[in-house]
Amino acid sequence: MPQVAPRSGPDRNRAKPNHVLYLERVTSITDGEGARQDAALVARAAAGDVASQRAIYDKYRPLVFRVARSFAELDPDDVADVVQETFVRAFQGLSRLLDPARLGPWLLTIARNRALTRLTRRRARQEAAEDLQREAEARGEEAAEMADPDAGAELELVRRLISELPDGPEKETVHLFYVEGSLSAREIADRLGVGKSAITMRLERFRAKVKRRVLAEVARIRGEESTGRGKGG
Amino acid sequence: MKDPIHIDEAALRRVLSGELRGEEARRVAEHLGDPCEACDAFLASRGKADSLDGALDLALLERTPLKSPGPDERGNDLEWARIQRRLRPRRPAWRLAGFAVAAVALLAAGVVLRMGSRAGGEQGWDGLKGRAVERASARLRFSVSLPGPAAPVVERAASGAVVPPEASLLFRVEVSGPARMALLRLDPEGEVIWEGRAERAGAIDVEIGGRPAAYPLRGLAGRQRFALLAAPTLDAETLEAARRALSGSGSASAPGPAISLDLVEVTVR
Repeated sequence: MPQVAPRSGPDRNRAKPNHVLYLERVTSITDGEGARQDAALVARAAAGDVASQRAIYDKYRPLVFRVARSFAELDPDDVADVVQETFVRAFQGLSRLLDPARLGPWLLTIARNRALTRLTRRRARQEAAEDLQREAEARGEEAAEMADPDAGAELELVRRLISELPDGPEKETVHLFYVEGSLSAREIADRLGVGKSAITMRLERFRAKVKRRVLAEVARIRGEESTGRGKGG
Repeated sequence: MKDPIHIDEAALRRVLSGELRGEEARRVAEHLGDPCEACDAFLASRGKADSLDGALDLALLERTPLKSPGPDERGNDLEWARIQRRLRPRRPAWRLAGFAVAAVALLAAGVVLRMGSRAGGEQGWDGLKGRAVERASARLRFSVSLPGPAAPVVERAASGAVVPPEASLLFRVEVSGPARMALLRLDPEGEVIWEGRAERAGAIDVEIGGRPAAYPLRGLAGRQRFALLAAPTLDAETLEAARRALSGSGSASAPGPAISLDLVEVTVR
């Protein structure tokens, strides 16, 4: 059974959501030493230390940028705005981050919400209040208390899901974006000669498959734990 | 046989919060473990992110070659400066009236704007010595940095240059004496992208945090104008007034004693 990382504050003395632990186990940025470094950076940055804020920005900017550019309808200006808004909101809200070691996923959640908000506004001209509601909901979900899961080979799952995709446009798109990694969704649309929204949808569909499998694993663990069969494996 | 449990907003929330238990959790797990168009469609079009999405993106994106992020992926000093600027407390609204008055005063006094004469070529800038204080006492120069196979290629450029969108601009300021300076990009908002101070006459490379700052042009297209303001004292209100004046009118012609202003233009194409 994996251990929950120690936390300092009373609000942080809670179990991490199991889906988070499940994924953190296979990500180097939030593993072990990386998580401890993040926690230290967050503590200093939340106290107003600009150098620590800059360190967070330098470390996570490439990932935030990649999340933003997975939406082909967002032009480069939009992507730049999403990146800026993400860090502005993050630094304004660092004190609300319950588990500082979860900085990476938290930043990427903000980035995705910022990107989706832009996309939504672009598509439907919805009110700005909506994204505030989204982030409030996301914060609530991040704070939800859940038990630890068994260890999972998430990276292997992602790799397998890509390989299981039937040959065709979706696999090609996913490969270009997630495996080769050098092209934005917009650039992939140009290269493949298809519409931007089609590329966004292909990437979102792939993410949905991965997410569904992760949710299945989380639900399985929860089911086993609630009947006392999960702890012993 | 029971109906399949498709994931929806309520079910997702229960899974993430840990409310889902026992037999129901096992049924959901069994269902989600197999391909389901309805569930995939729901998850793909949900339109908002939860905490699982952040962790999922981290897992997915870490598979890509993160160890060597491209130049457009890495952070840059000017973007960082913009973020820091947005984190500063906003000025109280009651001061806006003062800014408006200052803007009018600034325009009335006039600023030195020499863009027109520079866009077509180099004007007779004969160095810093002997320049009257009330004349243009600052000059903005720049180089263009382009990604190269091994290292960026940097070349000096003149106002009016046509540059590709993957270029970045490296600015150098020449001043005739002690001055406070601000560099603005004359987009519609007249964004201040750098502020600095010169203790004596000379040339200063625009740096942020002790590191050379490059202004990325990615995402921009067409004519881009950058303005340098310099004055012995350049307080926030004066700067704001100048920013508003420049972004509003985009030009002013009468020379004035208070602020020196130089402007360069590139076309991103």
